[in-house]
Amino acid sequence: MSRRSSGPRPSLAEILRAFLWIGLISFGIGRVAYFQDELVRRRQWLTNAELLEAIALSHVLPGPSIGNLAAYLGQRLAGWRGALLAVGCLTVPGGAMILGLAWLYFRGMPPAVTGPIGRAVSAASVGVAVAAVVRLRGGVHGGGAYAIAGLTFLLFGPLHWPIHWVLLACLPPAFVLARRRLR
Amino acid sequence: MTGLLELGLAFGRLSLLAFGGGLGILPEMERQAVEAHGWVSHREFVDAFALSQVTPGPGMLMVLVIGFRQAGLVGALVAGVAMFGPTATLVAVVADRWSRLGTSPLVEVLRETLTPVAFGLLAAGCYTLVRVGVDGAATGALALGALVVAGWVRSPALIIGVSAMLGLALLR
Repeated sequence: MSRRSSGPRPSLAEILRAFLWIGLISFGIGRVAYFQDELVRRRQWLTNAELLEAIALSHVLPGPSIGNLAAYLGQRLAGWRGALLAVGCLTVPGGAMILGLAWLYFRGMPPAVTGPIGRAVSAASVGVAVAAVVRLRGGVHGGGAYAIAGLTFLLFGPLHWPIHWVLLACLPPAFVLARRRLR
Repeated sequence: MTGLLELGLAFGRLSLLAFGGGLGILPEMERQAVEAHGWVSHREFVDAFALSQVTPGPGMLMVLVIGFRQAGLVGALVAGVAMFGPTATLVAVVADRWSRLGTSPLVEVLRETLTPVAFGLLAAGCYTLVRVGVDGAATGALALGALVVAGWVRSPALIIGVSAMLGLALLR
């Protein structure tokens, strides 16, 4: 089974367009939803399984996970320049906007957006994020894998374990399971 | 100059502590930026987080606000590069090596190992989001509404945009 989804690698211009778009519209906290929508559903550069793999590596390595995800995907899709471009396109539009708002804020003009709009965006992005995660379940195969996912959720979410303990507890059984499945 | 160096070192160190997403380092960032260095007040820190919620891109862009407060545009740039640069470089190096490993059986097993764990981490992220984003009946209804609508409307931006307007009307 080939895990690479489709034909030609995107050009740098296409990387620029895709990541700039995500950088411009990815409001709310569930930002993975925008990557799923743009890169998997629309452009079909990746499968859900490949996106999950990218998310896994960007979580396992240190750093802000969405910046990491852009660097990883940019590199995989279009090499080093792709990585630089993806991270730049993801951070510059929002960076310019947040600086504009910060300038107003520190001049004693707190933007109205910190109130009701902010709360609404946070709330709605919960729903959007859950929907994106539900869509990504296509990358998880079999009951055992779901059990591993459930354990990871339980330890990292409700039980608040630090990430390295979560990984120590979940990766070994996941490895054993994967080996058995692929043998 | 030493101020800029301190900003860069503090945020660079924080980025190395961020495993499993950015939300986890917020308490340590607050300790550094508010208590240890006094770059922003507690109120300003909370508002910087709020600003990052209504602007696109990574939530960790909030470090630009802190750097900006301390040292203007240069401070913002130093904070941003320190937060995203080193770890993004590391990740790109790993991505390069990982793709060169190709499709040996062991790599296939490692991929199959990572996916369910990533799925669980994302689900746990949603759990955290619920606690951050839902603080009552109105925001709960918005979250649920967005989830249901997301079944048909595939564009997250559209859903968030409409919700922002609903927020203006309903959450006053």
